[in-house]
Amino acid sequence: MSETKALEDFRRDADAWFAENTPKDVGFMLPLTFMEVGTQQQFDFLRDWQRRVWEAGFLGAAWPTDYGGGGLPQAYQDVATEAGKRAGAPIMLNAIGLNWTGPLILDIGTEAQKAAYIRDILSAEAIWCQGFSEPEHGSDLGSAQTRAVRDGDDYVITGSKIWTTQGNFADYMILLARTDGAPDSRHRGLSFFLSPMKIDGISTTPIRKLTGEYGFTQTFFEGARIPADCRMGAEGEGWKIAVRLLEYERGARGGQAGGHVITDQTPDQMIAMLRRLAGGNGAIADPLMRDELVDILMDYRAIQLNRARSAIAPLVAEAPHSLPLIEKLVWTEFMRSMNQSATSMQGAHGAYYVGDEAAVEDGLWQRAYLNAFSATIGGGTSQIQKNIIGEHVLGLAKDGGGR
Amino acid sequence: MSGALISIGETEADLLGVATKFCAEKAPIEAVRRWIDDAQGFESALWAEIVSLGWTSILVPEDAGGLGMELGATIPVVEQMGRRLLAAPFTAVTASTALLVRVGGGEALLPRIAAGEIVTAAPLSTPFMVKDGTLSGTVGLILWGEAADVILAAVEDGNRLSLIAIETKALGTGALKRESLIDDTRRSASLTLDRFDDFTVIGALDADVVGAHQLDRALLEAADMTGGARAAVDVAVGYAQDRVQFGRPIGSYQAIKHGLVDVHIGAEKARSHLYSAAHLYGTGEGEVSARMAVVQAVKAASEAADRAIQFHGGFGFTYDCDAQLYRRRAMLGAALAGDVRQHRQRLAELLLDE
Repeated sequence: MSETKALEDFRRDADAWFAENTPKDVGFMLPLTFMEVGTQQQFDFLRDWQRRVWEAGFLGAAWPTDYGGGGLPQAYQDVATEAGKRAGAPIMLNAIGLNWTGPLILDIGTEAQKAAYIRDILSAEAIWCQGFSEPEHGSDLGSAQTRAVRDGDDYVITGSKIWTTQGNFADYMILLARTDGAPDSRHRGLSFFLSPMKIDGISTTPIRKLTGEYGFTQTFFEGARIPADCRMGAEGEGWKIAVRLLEYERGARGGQAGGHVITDQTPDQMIAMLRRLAGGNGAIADPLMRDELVDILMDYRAIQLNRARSAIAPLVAEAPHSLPLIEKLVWTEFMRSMNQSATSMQGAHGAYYVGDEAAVEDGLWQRAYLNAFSATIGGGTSQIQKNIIGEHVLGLAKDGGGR
Repeated sequence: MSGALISIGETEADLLGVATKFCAEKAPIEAVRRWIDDAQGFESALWAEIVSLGWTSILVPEDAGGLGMELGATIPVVEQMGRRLLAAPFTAVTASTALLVRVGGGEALLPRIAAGEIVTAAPLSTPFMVKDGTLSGTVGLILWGEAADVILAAVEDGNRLSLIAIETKALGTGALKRESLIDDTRRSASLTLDRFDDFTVIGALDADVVGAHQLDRALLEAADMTGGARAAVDVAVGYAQDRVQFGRPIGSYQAIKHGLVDVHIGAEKARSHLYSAAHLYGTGEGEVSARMAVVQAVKAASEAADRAIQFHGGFGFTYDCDAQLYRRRAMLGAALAGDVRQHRQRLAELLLDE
């Protein structure tokens, strides 16, 4: 059987499976992104759902079979991910395991780490969270102050992390902590840990988001003891590993398990919403609204074209890193802006929020707009992204103001 | 929608590679400045090199001795010329060639174009009036008109529109007059005719051909502006790297850095839209992609060059600073590409009503 034929068959199987298994109405509000898992009910449902998708062979299809993967070429997983999106299937819960930590462990982890963690990431048996940001160190990760002090066969962890997505549910955390206490150690004093979460000395407090919902915690370490072999890499190599992790997080490096972890709104959905709201024949007549929609459709297409162009060598020959490095900024700012437009174009209906009968599509667009800030702030704010692009793509000098 | 939204063929990729190198070598900024002060505005020797590279044959049909390719194939060349502010009648000749192919009946002219003669076209929206078989009136914005061998123009007879060709050697002294353009790197002329009868009719013009020609020209200008947007960003970045104020390169300040990133992103979007349009032009998706490319190119080139002037500080206010060259070239480009508002209105119709 030819490669193309096999892939086509796989696509048909995936479409059929998602059509058959995607739940129509679960009876409660499902999170649109992995950062919005606020209730036990949502968590239990999504954990079960991820396990079923994995068992069906549509998650981790390109990961090694030794650790629960499908051992297929990446194209197969891409097909499966698209099929899930197309079917409007629920998101994959264990995003930080599947798309950040998993590929990192497969990339630079030891055999023991691969054997211990990868399968449970795929099955959602073990949920992962990330401990990078601290209350006093958001964008400035290099200054993280959470301490990891070696004591015999353990490290003793003291400090606090914030914006821990699914922190209250998680079994493990990728933790950036300071092993060198010298005041000027900065990046050099950091180490990287694969830390258990459900142990004495670690507690979490949910953070209520601007939407009124939950999804993040602050995480407190009060002398928590973790085994020394939780450390990844050598002491002091934490920053280097964290930067690599961020490359997976930002999609600049491939090898993710796949599955969509965010359900994005599209301009087509927005236009369909506006047509329903317009009533009658659904025509969108307002010239200012039409002009704004042209911008939205052009920018959306530009993002798709940028992605496609980044794989066409002659068209990126002079600056091959530019398109991958601008992607996060352009995409997240587009989503925020589009959702904002979708809200404001509802006119008086825009006043209503989730739970009100008069809310358009149960407040989906209002909620999506407010939640969109998680992406323009998380993973490096848009302003930090502009520094990165300015320095690494345009070659401008680093901002030397503070130090 | 089937097939890729963006792609580049082997020939086009080769053209891009050659054009990138050629334009960088042949049009350093000193040469651009020299051409600005030259009466003709471009070097005949450089034009001869462009012709010998075969670039004026790209659109000429194979039976007329050309390559018979689509307009999209010329986009890499025009983009790189715009990037280097290269002065030559290439875009004008390319638009005229495409027009002759669309109208048909230009068999005698096409081989001459391939051989390097300069054929330019007056805007079809301002036809000469026909009376008793002769032409009278004044038509402007004829790009490189004074250097042209042949000028194409629309003529209106009753309510019939036709395309005609005029050999410039048949014109009286003073018929062509240089115009003062916003862009010093290009030239245009007005043509005044008084009961002129020495012209050849090429064929009939209908609204479809006129519209298609205007979109051809707009797309070519979009390519020129997309190249210009890239260059304007690069010029501003270069200055921000070198210029030191308060003890630090000004590019280290976020007010400058973030502004440069914004225009860099605009230029990247423009390039993606441009090469999508080059790929899809002539297909069902061609009009949407071309108008998007025009709208984004105008925006990207205008904003990048505008910021390039601003970020040069006091130097940016001088004629010696190159930033103004890109800004003014983009102002002409935007004017030639047609009102952006109309492109946007048409896009709204295509995207929301059809």
